[in-house]
Amino acid sequence: MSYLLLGLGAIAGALSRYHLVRAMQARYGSTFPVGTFVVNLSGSLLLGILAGLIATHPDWPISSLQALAGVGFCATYTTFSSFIFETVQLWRQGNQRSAMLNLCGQPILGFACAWFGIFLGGA
Amino acid sequence: MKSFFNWLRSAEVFLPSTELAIALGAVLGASTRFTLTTLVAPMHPAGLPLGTLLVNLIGCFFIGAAQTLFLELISVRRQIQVLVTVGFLGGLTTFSSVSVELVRLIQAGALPIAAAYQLGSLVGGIVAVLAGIALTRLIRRLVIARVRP
Repeated sequence: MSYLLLGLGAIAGALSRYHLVRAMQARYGSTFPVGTFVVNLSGSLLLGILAGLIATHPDWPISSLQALAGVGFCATYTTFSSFIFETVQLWRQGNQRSAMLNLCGQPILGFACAWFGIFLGGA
Repeated sequence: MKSFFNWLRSAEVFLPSTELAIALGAVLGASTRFTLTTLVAPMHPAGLPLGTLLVNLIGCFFIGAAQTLFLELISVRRQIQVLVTVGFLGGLTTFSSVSVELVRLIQAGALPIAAAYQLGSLVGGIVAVLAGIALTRLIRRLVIARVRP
């Protein structure tokens, strides 16, 4: 059961990421990976909200929610491999400043988004 | 008969669209992540999230290897490429879990573990990507040396 919910969440997460990244890169298309940046920050906010909601609502179906929306959707929607790979690519292409901005910006702002999400969720 | 096998082998039979390829890769990647993180779950809430660290480093190694393979070595269908990179490796690795785990660690007062986790993920991830790229190029050199002595 949990693998079914996980799979459904993962499909929705990966397809949302793919289309959002494509749309963002088409619109603001530069060398900077805006798409992954936006995906990772919004996903951290969403997972934070979920964590806050789960902590304050023990009567909710927690394990199912975690499988579908947490481990399934949010975790798959965001990506660590693309974030690091794009950072390495930026550096190798000579955009050292963008690479450092990406490498420091995503974790710091992602942390802030998760914190704010947990606060919004009520925990 | 030969063309039948070629047709069967072609990705389009199994993967009619990019979306389906990504969905398949994502289910495999997320299930692998879920299984691995459950297997190596930390003993207590303020412990180092080894499972997430492990899947992220493995994913970084293979994204370096896969991108080098697809860009420099072999030409494969776009569906196979997105299945591996966008679907599987994107689904295997996660950024949001790291963010929330860091907040949890800091709220629990485990500042040194949080710092080690963040640094280990970032530095380890970069090293893993570079190792994946280097290993794939090394294999390419060995293969080319064997084909053209």
